[in-house]
Formats: sequence, C-alpha cells, structure tokens
Amino acid sequence: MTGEGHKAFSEESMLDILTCKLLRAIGSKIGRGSSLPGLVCKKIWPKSLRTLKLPDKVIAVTGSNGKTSTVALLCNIAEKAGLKVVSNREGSNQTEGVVTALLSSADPRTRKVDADVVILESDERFCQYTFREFTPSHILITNLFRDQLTRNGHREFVKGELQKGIPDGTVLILNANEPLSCSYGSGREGTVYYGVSAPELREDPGLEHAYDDGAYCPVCGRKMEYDFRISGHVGSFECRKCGYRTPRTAHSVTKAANGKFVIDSTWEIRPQIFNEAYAQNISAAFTTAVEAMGVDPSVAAEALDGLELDNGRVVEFRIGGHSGRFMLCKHENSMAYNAAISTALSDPSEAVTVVFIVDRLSRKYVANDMSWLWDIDFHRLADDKVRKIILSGGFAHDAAERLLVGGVPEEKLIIEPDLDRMMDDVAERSEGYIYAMTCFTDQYKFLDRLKKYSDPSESDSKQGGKTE
Amino acid sequence: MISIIAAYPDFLDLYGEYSAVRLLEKRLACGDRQVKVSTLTFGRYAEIEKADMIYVGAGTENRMLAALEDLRGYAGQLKAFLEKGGILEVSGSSMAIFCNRITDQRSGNRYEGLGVFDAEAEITPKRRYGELICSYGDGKKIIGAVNSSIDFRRNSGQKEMFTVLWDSSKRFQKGAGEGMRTGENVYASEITGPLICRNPRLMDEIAEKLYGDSLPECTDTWYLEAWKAYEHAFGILSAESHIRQDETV
Ligand SMILES: [Zn+2]
Repeated sequence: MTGEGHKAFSEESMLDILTCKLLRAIGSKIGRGSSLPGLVCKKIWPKSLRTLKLPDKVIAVTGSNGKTSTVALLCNIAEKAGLKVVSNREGSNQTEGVVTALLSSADPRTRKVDADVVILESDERFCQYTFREFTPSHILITNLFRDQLTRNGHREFVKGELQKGIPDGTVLILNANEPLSCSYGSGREGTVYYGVSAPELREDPGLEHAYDDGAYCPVCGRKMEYDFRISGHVGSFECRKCGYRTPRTAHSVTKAANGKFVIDSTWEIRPQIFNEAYAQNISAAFTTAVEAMGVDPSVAAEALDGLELDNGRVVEFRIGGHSGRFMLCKHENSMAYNAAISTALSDPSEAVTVVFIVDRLSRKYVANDMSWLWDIDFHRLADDKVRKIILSGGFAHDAAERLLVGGVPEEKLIIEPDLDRMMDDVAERSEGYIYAMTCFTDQYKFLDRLKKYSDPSESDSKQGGKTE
Repeated sequence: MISIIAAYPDFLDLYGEYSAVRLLEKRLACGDRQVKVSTLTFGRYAEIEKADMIYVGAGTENRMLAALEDLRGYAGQLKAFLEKGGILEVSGSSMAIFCNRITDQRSGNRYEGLGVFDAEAEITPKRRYGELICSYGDGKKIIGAVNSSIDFRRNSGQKEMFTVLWDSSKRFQKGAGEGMRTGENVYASEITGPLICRNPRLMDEIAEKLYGDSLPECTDTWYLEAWKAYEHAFGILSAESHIRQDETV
C-alpha cells in the first residue's frame, strides 16, 4: 500500500506536502480548496503520491450512481468505529482531489498519512490515472449506469476505461445485482459482493422501461433472464447460455418495511431515504465496513441507523398553499430521474404535480444533446395521480416533445421555458403535493426563485429522491 | 398500411434511437396513415421484402458487430428490399454495418460489411463527442451530435448525406461531407439526437416518402413542440458557431 522510501523524497522534498497544506488553506477561502492544491502539486511533483505512507486500508469508491452517498455513509461508520479517516468526501473525485486529500493530511517529515483508513471517491474514468500512483486495498464499484453519455460514450466504453484502473491485488467489492459492473468479479478470487433482495423493494414485473440494459448478458451477449428486478436492469439475473448470474452476497438488504431496512435478516436500519437506490448504498457501505474495514456488524448497523447526511439532495418547501419536495437529480442520468419519478408516483395522496427543469446540461462541457430524455421513464407520468406536469428551462420544448410522444396526456402539461413565469405556474396551477426535479447545474434556478415564495428547509423525510 | 421494421431496437438502443420510428409513426398518423411496426432482432424475423422502411439505430461498437453477423443472414432479402426502392435509414455506429469493410483497431480484426455503401469503417479506441450544424438539399439545416469512436471513409463514388457547417469537436472541417446517401431511399448519418426527433423538417421529408404523396400539415402539439425545440437548439449552436439559417457552404 505504501510507496517505498524513495531517495528522491528526503527531508527537503517535504515541499510537496507543505505546499499542498498551504494551498489548501488559501484555496478553501476562495472555494478551490479541493482541486487546486492537488492540481498544482501534481504538476510540480507528479510522483509524490508514490512515496506517501498510506494505511493498510485504502478504500476507493467508484461507479456511475451512489458513490458520494456511499462514501459519506462509510466515513460515518468508520468514525463511529473509532477509526481516524482521511477522505476526499467534500471535494473533487478526480485525481487532483485525491492528491489534495492525501498530501494535505500527511506528515511532512515521515510522509505518513495520518489515518487508520483512507476512503476515496473516484470518478470512473480517472481511476486509471489515480491508481497508477498507489494501489488501493479495496475498490467498491457501485454500478455502471447510463450516465453523462456525452462525456462517457456508453457503458461498455466506461467499463473498459475503469478496467484499466483496477490494479492486480486490489480486492473488489461489487454490486451483485448490477450485471455489467458485477462482471468485473468473474474469475477474480476474493471478490466480495453485496446486494438487495428485499421483496418489498422489487419492481412490478409489468413495469415497462424506456430501455433495458439487462436484456442481454454482458459476458456472452445472449438474452438474459431475471428472477426479480429492483430497478431497471438491477436485480437477480441469470444467463442460461453461459451461466453468468447474480453471485452469492456477503451481505444483503433482505427486508424493507415500516421505514426500516433489515440487513441479513438481523440488522435493522432506519434509512434517511427509503427507496431501492438508497438500499443499495446502505448495503454497499455496510458490506465494505464489515468486510474491508473489519468493523463489527453491530457497530456498522448502529452507525447507519437513523443517519442523516447533510447533502441537500432533498429540500422540502411550501409554495402557493402547496407542500412540495425538491429532489436533486442528474441530467444525462436516467436512473436518477427514474428514482425521482418512482418517488412521486408512490406518494400516498391522490394528486401530485411534477416540475421538471432542463435549462443547461453541464457547467464544464459544451453539451446540448437531448437524447438522454428518451431514456427516462417519463411515460409513467401518464398515471392518473399526476395531475400537472410543469416543464421549464430552455429545453422545455424538447421535454414536452418527449413526454407527449411517450403518451403523457397533453392536458396535464404546462410548458413554460421562462423560469420566472414557471414559478408563478408552480404557485398558482399546481394540484396536490409538488415534486420538483432537476440537476445540480439547474437546481438554484428553482431553489433561489423559491425564496421569493417560501423558505425552503432541509428535509428530514423518510422518502425521497435518489441521485448522484 | 405502411410497414416499418425497427432493426434490433432492444440491442442497438443508445441515445434514444428507438424514438425515431415512433415519431415517424406519429407523423404519418397525423396524415391519417396507419403504420405497422415490426421488430427484426436475434431469432425474430420480420418480412424485409414486404417492408417500406427499415430503421437501424446506434449501438455500442461490439453490439454493432454482433448485429452485422445476424444481418448477414438476410443479405439477399436486404438487396431485394433496396432494389425495389425500400427506404433504409441508419444511424450512428450502425452505419459501419453497411460499409464494405470494418477494421477494429482495438482487436486488429477485420470484418466484411454488407457493402451497401462504398465506404470503409474503422473502430478506434478513442471516443469523440461533437455537436454539429449541417446542411443538405437547398441549404436546409439540421442539428445533432456525434458520439462515436468510428472513423468512416467514403470512396469516391459514395455520396454523403450532409455537408458540415460547424462541428464543436473540430473533427469535421467546414464543408466536409457527413454520412452516406444512395439514391432517394438510403440514408445514413453518424449524427444522433435522435436525428429525426430533433429535426422535424427531415422527419417530414422521410415521412413524405413513406406517405407517397404530399404530406398533410400537422398541428399536433408534440410536432409543434419539436419545431420549437429545434429552433431553440439551433439558436444555441448558432450563437456559438455564427452559422445562420440562411448560410450556405
Ligand atoms: Zn451469458
């Protein structure tokens, strides 16, 4: 795990660590505390991570969805277990964020990272660069979903890119229910699997999706079958041709009822968000804590029970006499929106309004591609419970075309690209409880305008949107 | 009754490709013309000879190669279909299926294509994403995105489908040809979006060929929204590229 004591990094070369600490202190004042120090240090001392002395447990978390939440859950468990944690949980998940987290917590003289466990979130495409410098003891891969295809091309391409970042000797922790990422474990001894099997979280077998990434086996390419599905292509799968199937799990969410998840029919956890996506995060964090960090299962369960992450992903509000919930999703990620749609449809009342905003795709990239809209299960909004659907932002017309072609009745739609006028529509024309969903690139276009109407407060709901 | 075959819709299913056939169906329904959509996929034959149109959408490179092997079994029917003037529309990576040859740089393997286009395809390990404005016909503009790792090279006898006016990735130079077109019935483009969803004029033109007469106007909201979406997207790309609607190469 550790770099050997390189001669190149003797006493005088503590400069990398000192520079990083200094830049981090300055950077945090200008809002670039997580990426800038690492970026600068990586440029000047490209090999400095190789000579750091890391603890035995270095756990990397990657995958399309759920990694930020899972890292936060893991950090909480580790701290509850009395372990000293170093993590990039608040910062960048690209290589420079990892460099910042590690260098800024290292002792300049001994080059030892002051931690019992390092927990790192890593972008799927960046593992190949980050883990060239050191070998994590474990890599947890949450899933490979359709995500930011303008940047990622498609899932098979991301699988190949991530494969380049998995060092020999690293133990993999994989989602037994997601066929593509689970296939990293084929023929790899010591791989640990986690899952969700709770009957209450299984999808209605009649539910149709816009696409099915579970239709064909990722190993041999033939038709695949499912015993049950949790959401989309996540479930208990089996290829009758090559025998590839959901492997046996080390730990699994076996029951979900009365606002509680039960792990291994034993450990009860009251989750912050009661849905199938969060159940996967809980299962991933529990399994990693127990199997990779050696935390006692009772301690892991206790740490997760009732844990509220301060992630701002669910905000409750009131507007025009209606209550509502804002759910942070991710443009170009159909699974995130599908989970939010499921939450809206599982509302116990008879009438809900859905607000969907697409104004800008990315803060970083030129992207006006709208093809991802066709991957979201918008057709489900044809449900009678959904009385009004308010579409806004520059791409409201693309969304309208998508929903109408998907069979959503025209009379439900309010198409208002202008964001200010949209807020008036939300206040005046909503029916029932409001579910508003958009991406972090567009969230403040809604949340800031909301302040004129009401004071949003952080949610403590037991149900909510799932994202990342 | 118009008959459209969606080829491998659950397999070549990236970038919302399935919706192209659904939109054509809706557009034709606007002209009171019914459409029968059949699926051609592994182990499931659709009557190619009797179809008016076949649509082949974009998939991953590996899936495209698997679909090629399956389609090879229908080469005779496909030839007869094209000879009688059946409309073939191909999108994204699947354009390679219909080229002369495909070289896969990743494995070093070479594959014989179906030879509908006099062109060569090369699968590279590198992905590129670009947003384009192209023109065709008498200066009509289309927009869309290329999300691809395949290089296509048309031989001298093969016509392109579009002329590129602007490409955000700079892979295509201004004035370069994009896609392939043969006669009045075979169209292929790397541009997805999906192309037909984002470009209602092109949708009308293809629908009109299937309709066989001048296509009645459509006042459905979904169709009007498609036009507004096109105008909004063109506006964004135009602001970046300074390409105007009246621009020619
Ligand atoms: Zn198989």
